Order: sequence, then structure tokens, then C-alpha cells
Amino acid sequence: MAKVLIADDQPTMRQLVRLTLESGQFEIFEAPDGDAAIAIARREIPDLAFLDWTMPGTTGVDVCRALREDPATAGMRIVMLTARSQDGDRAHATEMGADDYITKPFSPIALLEKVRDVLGPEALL
Amino acid sequence: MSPRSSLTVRMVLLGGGLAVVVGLAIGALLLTIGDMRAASRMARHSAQVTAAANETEKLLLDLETGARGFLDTRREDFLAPWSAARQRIPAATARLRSLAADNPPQQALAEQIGAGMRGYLDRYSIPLITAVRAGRTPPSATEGKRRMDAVRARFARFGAVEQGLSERRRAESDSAAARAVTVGVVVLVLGIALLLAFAVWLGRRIAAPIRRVALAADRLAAGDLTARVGARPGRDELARLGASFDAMAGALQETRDELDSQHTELGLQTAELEDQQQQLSSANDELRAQRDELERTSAALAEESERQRLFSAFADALAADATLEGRARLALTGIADAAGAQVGALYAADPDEPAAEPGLLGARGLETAALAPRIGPGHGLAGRALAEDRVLEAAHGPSGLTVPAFGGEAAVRCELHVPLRYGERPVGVVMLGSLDDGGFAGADREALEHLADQAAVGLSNAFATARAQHLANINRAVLDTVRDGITMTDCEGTIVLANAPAARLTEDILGLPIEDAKDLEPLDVAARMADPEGFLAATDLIAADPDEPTFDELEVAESGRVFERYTAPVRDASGERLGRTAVVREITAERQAERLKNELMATVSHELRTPLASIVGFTELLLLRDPDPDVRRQHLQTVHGEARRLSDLIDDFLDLQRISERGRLPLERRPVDLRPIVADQARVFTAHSAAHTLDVRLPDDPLVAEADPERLKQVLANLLSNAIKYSPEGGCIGVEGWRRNGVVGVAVEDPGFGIPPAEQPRVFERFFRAPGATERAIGGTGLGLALVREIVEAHDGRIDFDSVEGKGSRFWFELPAADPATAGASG
Repeated sequence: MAKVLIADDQPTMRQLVRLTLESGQFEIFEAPDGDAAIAIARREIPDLAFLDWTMPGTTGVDVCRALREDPATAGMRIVMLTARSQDGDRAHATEMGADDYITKPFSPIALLEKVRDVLGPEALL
Repeated sequence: MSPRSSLTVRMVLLGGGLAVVVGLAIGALLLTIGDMRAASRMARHSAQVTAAANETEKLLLDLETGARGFLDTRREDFLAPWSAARQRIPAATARLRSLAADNPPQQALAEQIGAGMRGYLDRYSIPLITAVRAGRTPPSATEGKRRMDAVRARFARFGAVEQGLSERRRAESDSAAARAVTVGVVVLVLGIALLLAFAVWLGRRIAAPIRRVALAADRLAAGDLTARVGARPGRDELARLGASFDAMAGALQETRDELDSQHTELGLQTAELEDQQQQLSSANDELRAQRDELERTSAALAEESERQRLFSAFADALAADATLEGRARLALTGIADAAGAQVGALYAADPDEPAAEPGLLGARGLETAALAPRIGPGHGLAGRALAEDRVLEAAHGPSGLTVPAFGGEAAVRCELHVPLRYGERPVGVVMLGSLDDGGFAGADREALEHLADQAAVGLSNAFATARAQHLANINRAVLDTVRDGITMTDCEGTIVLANAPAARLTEDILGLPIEDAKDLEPLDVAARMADPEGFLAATDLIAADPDEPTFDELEVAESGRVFERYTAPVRDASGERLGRTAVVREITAERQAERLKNELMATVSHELRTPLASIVGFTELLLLRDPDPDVRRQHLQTVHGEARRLSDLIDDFLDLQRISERGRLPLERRPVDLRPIVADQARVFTAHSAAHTLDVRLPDDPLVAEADPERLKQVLANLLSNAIKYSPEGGCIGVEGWRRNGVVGVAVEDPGFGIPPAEQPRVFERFFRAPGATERAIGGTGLGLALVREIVEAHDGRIDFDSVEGKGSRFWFELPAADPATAGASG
């Protein structure tokens, strides 16, 4: 069963992502801030992480860079899930090591398709 | 004249001979004295040699007596003289030998003495001492005596020879001294004799002839031209003097004879001259008549020249002052002086404005207030002079216009009006008045008209200058009034125009006055810029003076101020290049507004997208999965809450937008009690955060103010939301209400980050976010407090805060209190 980490300071957002992924077979971990996200990632080595950018303390891109710098977590798939949509934001996130970038608001269906792209179709079974 | 015959040469030769004789005698004397000194030195030397021989002999005796004493007593202390003599003998014999070195036989004898003494010592004296000390038999005393006698015999011979030498030398010395005395006496006598002979010769050969010449000269001076010195053989100077004197006396006698004959001839010539003088006198009368004629012509010429001088002086005077008033005053003075007028006034119009009536430009001896400001064709005599374009004159007698004079008034008896003609048209008139009975009879009308025409030209120029100056002033004022700094540089790069804002902006950009700016190198200026390379590139481009306009922006690094610079080539009407203008405008505020707007757009976009994401996501899930009613209800509640949040955000934003557009927020004010509103909001926010507790303290009496309750709710919601957001660690939020001194107030206190002092003045600015808010991911638009202040101030209230960084903040507002009795249904 694939492990998925959801990091967002908004509980409704975490709930939305969790509900969206309910249809698949995932072990889901939630983090309300960046530091918690890094701690869980190091402990669980998830297959995929959805990171909000704007979080208290360590921001999503900082988490992304930290995970890429740590050999244990460097191989994770990381998708930024953020309301930031200014010019250059996506490029900056990619530079920090993000595999993909989804702007809020987003469609749960599209999110699922993104998960299938990243983890392969069998992850959704 | 042979040099040999010269008296001077002979005197020099005689003097020289005398000096040689005396010198030779003195030389002989010196030689003799030298001989004497040498003989004396030799005698002293002989004495030294004898003394040395005596001393050496004494050493020999010391040896002998010392040895004998020791032999008799056998005591070592008796040997002291012997030991001393033994030590000194080698030095003494060597000295004796060297002193006798000038005399080889004596030197040989000295060597023998030395050898004898060494023999005595080595062969006899030392063995004797050694033997006595060792207790052996001493050598024979006879041997010692023999050796001793031999040495002493040599000493005796050496002494005798030296004695003889010494006596001979002393005798030589004595005779040399006697010789020196003799030579000295001879030299003295010879010198005196020669000097006496020389003096006698001088007296005979020079003094006597000179005395003869002097006597003859005295006679000549007394008038006796026959005086002569008499011929004297010889060719020396004295003979020549005598001959010259005689020649001169002869010449003088001849001249006097000649003069006598000339005097007679002169008498005849005088008589002839007197005749000629008579003839000249008659010619002179004729010439005088011609001169009178010439003087008359010359007077006429002088008059014309005086006129020309007057015109030229008038032109010079006018040129001295370029202003219209100054030139009018000078023109009036010049014309009035030329006419002999005591009073006058000048009127003129600008020739470029034909419709204008001539106005008063200057007055002399008259009150300007009493004069018409303008005159037209119908205005009396002056008007006629103007209309008819000719000089007019009128006499009034004593009853005319009066002007102030000493202690009373004087009548203007005559007036004269001269038109000012410019081209073919009169443009003004000079009015002149005379207080004299004679009026202007003596005035030169022609000259006055000429002066008036000159004045008209000068005034027209002054009008044109004044017009140009006025236009230039307007242009300058307009240039200085615009917001942009405008400069123009000519083709050499010199600044030819800079308006006032240019000077100000240059100082803002460069930090020094525009006058000093030309000394700056582009590199110095670039160093002040945020983008030095860009600045240098733009400056190079402008320096190349391209045909196209250039456009760039300068950001001053230190102040952060931004300026826009536009430059373009300037051409005159014919297309010739005059230089380049640069227009500089500060756009700091625009840039800042743009940045703020971009930041706002980013913030608003982010803040709107966050609740929208929940709304879109949950509704899509609801549509896709059709969950059971409990789950559906839960989802719908979430969607509803997020939609409300979105709506509030939009309201805040629109409220502020409305305020910035209309200047004031529309309110629905009525008397309301603040307590229930505060309590409601506190309850709402208690539910928002589990980490916070709210401590609400409200008085028992109502807190009534004339207010819009919905807006007050907004204010409290913002303050409470901030208090929770900026104290993420949780804690107690204090809420307090009061009424005192005619105001009601509410305070919200949090234990959060606080606000750094540097940021405190900006707290109520729009879009201000507390430092670190974004890093800490504290949501918000930066609009809340700006809106709160607008609302409180729209209620005539005031809002403020106290904050300590790291400790927390206390925000409070006060509104004017209203009568509690009027508080209606709001509670």
C-alpha cells in the first residue's frame, strides 16, 4: 500500500485531500506544518507528498528542499499543492525539487489523475 | 709722440730702478742674517754633543764605582747605580753616535767609545759581578783598569775635538753678525741718498715748467693775449703743454681780430632789414581780412559739429538704459534740455500695437497724477501734434498752467509739442513747457525733431525688449511650474537651460547642487545608482547624442528613489541641431504604488484561492460520490464556512476600495450598546481556537455610542482575529470595555509577537503585514487594520495600540459616548 503525506495548515484542505484519496488504497499521514512534515517523511519515507507552500514555520518549498537533501527521502515524489500562483512560483518550486505543482482551487478528479501519473495506475486499485 | 720721450715713462723707470737697488740691498742683508743663524745653530749642536759625551762618560764611571762598592761590601743594594748605568748605556752610546753623524771622524770615534764601553761591561764588569755573587775569584782589576783607561782616553779625544769645533763655530757666528750690521747700514744710507736724488730731479724737470705755464695762463685770463710760455726743446708732456698753450693764445688773438671786422659788416645788414619790415607790414593787413573770413566759416562748421555731438550724446544716453521707463526718462531729459524746457512729459505707444493710444512714460517737473494716463488725437495741442505729425507751439502768457516753484507757483508761458516718429508714423509725443517769457524762440526745431525721432527708435526697441522679456518671464515661469526637471545642453555639452525642478531633482539624484554636477565623472554618478552598468550604458548612449530620443530609469541606491529620464535632440526651425533636452521626472510613488498593487494582487489572489479550493473540492466530491446524508451535511457545512470566509474577504477588500474611491465609508448610525456586540464576537472567536481563552470584562452600565452595529462587529472581529493569529502559541486574550470622560472604549490585548518599534508607525497602512507574518504563514490581506481605522474614524473615534516586541500588543478604540437612555433595540 502506497504511503501519502499531506502537509497543510488548513484542516479542511487536509480533509479534502484525504477524502479525495479514499477511493484508492493508501496509507495517509497528515502534517499541520513544515517541521511535522519533515519529521513524518523521515520516519515513514512516504511514496508521495502533497505540500502546501504557505505554512507556519518551515514553508512547503523549504520542506521540499530538506527532503531532497536528505538521501533517505531524496527519492520521494513531491507535489506542491498551493494557492500561490504568481509568475516564477512554479519555477522556484521546481528548482527546490518539486516534481509537480498544482494550484488551488483544484479538482479532486484531476488530483487523482495526477496521483496515477506519479505512482502508476496500480496505486489506485 | 714716442713713448720713450714720455715724462711718465721716465718717472716709472726711475722709481723702478730705485726699488730694485733697495730690494737687492735688503736681499744681501737677509742672506747675511741667514748665515749668522746657521753658525749659531752649529755652535748649539756642538754644545749638545759635548753634553752627550759627558753624560755617557758619567755612566762608565757609575759602572766602575757601583762594581767597586759591591766588591767591597758584597751588598746587592750597592749595585743599583751599576744596574741603572748598564741599562742606559746602549741608548746613550747610540745617541752620541747619531749626534756625531755630521762629522765622520767624530762618528768613528763615538763608535769606538761604544765598543769600548760594551767591552768593559761584557768582558770585565759583568764577569766581575757574576764571580763575586758566585763566590769565585773575580777577574783581575788590572784588566778593568786597562779597559777603563782606554775608553776614557777616547772620551778625552772626542771631547777635545768637539771643543775645537765648538769654538770655531762660535767665531763664525760672531763674524756673521758683524757682517749683517755692516750690510744693514750700507743699505739704509744708499736708499736715503737715492730718494733725495729722485726728489731733486722731480723739482727741476716738472715743477718749474708747470709754474711758467701757470703764470702765462694768469696773464691770458687777465686779457693779455700776447702772453706766451716760450718754446722749450723736448717732446715730453711739459714741452707739449707749453706749445699747446702758445698755439691757443695765438688762435685767440686771431679770432678777436676777425670779430672786430664782422661787427662792422653787421651794422650795414641791420639797415637793410628795417626796409624789408616795412614791406611785410602791408602784406599782414591783407592776411587778417582773409583770416576773418575763415573764422566765420569755421563757426558755422562748429555749430553743425555741436549738433552732431548732441545727437551722438543723446544716442549714447539712450543706450545706457534698456528698460522702457529708463529710456523714456532719458529721452525726455535730453529733448527738454535741448529745447531749454523746464517741464515736460513723454507719451509713447508700442509701434507693434497700432491700435494702442500713447501712454504716459515719463514726466519732468510735473505731477504724473495730474497728467492724462493716455492721449489720443483729440487731446489738446499734444493730440493735434500727434495726429498732424508736426511740431506745434503755443504761448499762454502769465495765465497758463501753473507748476510748483520756490515758495509758490510759476506759470507755464509757452508749450511746445514734438511728435515721436517711428518710420513714417508718429508713435508718441513729447510735451514741453517753458516758464520763460521768451518761450522756445531759441530752440533748434530741426534738432529737436531729430532727437524725437531718435527717441522713438530707442523707445520702440525698449518696447520690443520689454515684450521679449515678458515672454521670457512667462516661459521661465511655466518651465519652473511643471513637475518635470527640464534641462537643455548645447552641442558642446554645456547646460544652457535648467528649470527649477531640474535643479531640485539633480540634487535629489546626485546629492549635490546642479552647479557642481558638471565636475562629476559618470562613474561617480553610476556609483550612486542601483544599476551602475545600466546607468553607464544609458549615459554613453546619450553622450553619443543620437538622433532618436532615449528613455531610461535611474534608481538611486541610497534613497531608493526612482527617476525617469527622457532625452531628445533639439533642432531649430531650420532643422539645425541646437543640442539635447533631458526631461527627468520622479516616479518613486508610481513605482511604489505599482509594487504595492502587485503585492496586493498576489495576496488577494492567494487569500481568495484558499477558501475557494475547499468550496470547489468539496462540492466536486459531493457531486461525484453522493455520500450519505451525515457526510453530505458535514461537507456542506465546510463549504458554507469557507464561502462565508471568502465573502468576508471580498467585503473587506471592497469596503476599502469604496473608501479609497469615495473618501468615506457609508454608515447607518444609531445609538447602540457596545457590550452585547463585544460579548457576541468574543463568543464566536472562542470557538475558533482551542489554544486561546478569552477573558472578557465589561462594566454593568451600558456603553452607548452613536454607531453602525455591523461596522462595530467588523472592528471587533478584526481585532480578535488578529489577537489570535499573532499569538500562535495560544494564551489568554483580554477584552475590556469602559466609559469615562464622555467616551466609550474597548481594548483587545494579546500575549503574542508584538510589533517591532520600527514597524509601529505603519501598522494602520493598507496592505501592511506584520514582519514575519508571511514567513509564519499567518493569513490575511493586510487590509483588516486599515479598514478598522477607517471605520473608527468614520465614527469620529480614535484607535491606537501599545505593543512590546515579544510580549504582545494591546489595541483599543474609543468612540464619543451617547446618552444611555437612547440605546434602542440593538441589545
